[in-house]
Amino acid sequence: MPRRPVFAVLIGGAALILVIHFKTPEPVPASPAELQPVISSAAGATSATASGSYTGSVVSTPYGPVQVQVTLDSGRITAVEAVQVPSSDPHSWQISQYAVPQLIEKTLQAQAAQVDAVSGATYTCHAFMQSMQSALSQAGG
Amino acid sequence: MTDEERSAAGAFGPADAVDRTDTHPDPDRPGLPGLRRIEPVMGTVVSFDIRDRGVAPQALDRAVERLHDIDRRFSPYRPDSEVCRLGRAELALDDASLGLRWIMGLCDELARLTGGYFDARRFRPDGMPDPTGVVKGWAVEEAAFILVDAGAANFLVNGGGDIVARGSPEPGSGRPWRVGIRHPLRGELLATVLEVGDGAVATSGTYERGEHVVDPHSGRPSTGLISLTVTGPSLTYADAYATAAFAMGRDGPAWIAGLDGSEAFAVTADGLTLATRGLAPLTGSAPAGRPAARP
Repeated sequence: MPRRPVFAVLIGGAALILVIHFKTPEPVPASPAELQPVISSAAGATSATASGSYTGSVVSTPYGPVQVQVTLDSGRITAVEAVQVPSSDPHSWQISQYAVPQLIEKTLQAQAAQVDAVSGATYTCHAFMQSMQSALSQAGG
Repeated sequence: MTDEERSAAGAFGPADAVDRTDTHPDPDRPGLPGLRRIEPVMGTVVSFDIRDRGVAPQALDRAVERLHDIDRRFSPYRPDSEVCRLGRAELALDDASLGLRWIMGLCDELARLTGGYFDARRFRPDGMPDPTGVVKGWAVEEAAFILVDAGAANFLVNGGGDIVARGSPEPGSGRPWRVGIRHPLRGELLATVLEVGDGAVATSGTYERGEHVVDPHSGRPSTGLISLTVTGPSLTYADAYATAAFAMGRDGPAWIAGLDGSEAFAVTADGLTLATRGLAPLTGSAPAGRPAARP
């Protein structure tokens, strides 16, 4: 990590206690204002004038294929539709019923392009973003 | 792993074992320099995002093949893997490859470093040794080393949410990679965004796969935290530390804080977030006045 202080040179009990004290975790209330939509930066690459519907690539997950279609009006996302979602088992059903509609809703709200990668992401979220990005890339060309 | 081990292991398997259909200089993002690839392997999806110009596609092929090679040899889910043969006692540890013996040694070291909270040699119900918890992070790191050897200095490898980053997504700009940490309760949102230049990010939590981290001391699923992310110089260690600290529950973040070079971000079961001071998280779209970065 580029900004990490060089603690490696600190040796000895007193120094160690200092470091631990300095780095004591603090609770921070989670607030909706601190939450950001999970849309990776490539999603922002659409052309400002693109309009029409674009179907993303089919992305395989262990739970089944995911495919997304986005509709743009002058570069703005006006609709996101899941063309394919996993449905073969109860777990996938749950994802399809809850997660995917939420992803679509947040995508529409967000239009954002903030991150390069996601840690802790799930198969389905990954696949959704991947398929959507490929759809948007077609639009942005 | 030494060169000798690599060649003994036949590190680069037959080319036809790899699906090259999605190797591309950028079908999805034509304007972006570098190479992108998304590879299903090891029961997850590993994505490569190389932003340097001029890195040979063959280097990316080799990195991907390394993942498949590791999967073939160390997967506990492939009956013919070395790990499974070891589990069925068809193979003695002393007769195992240097690579497998090295992995098992690493498991022991990590168990010691984590006070037993990361116990990768915990035997599965079917009797197989399961070093999976070590292998995934290590494999992604191995793939990253191959890219570095090939001259890549600005790339990100994401193995199902476990990340190795180098340099910058915009080489020369100094801008670090922005890694979103998925909110465990609200899967469509990020709990925070971390800036990473050269480093690793690993998250352990109760995501889609259920409560998969067990406190080895109590034998019960860990409670207290629902997500814990560790950053550090090595993904192999960050991954193990994340698993261990998650198993520790609410004591986990403080334990990470005491480790040299590692930082933690956690979400508790009651919805609080915790961050060690050195983490420097960003919240790009948060309103002014609510910075998540601690002073």
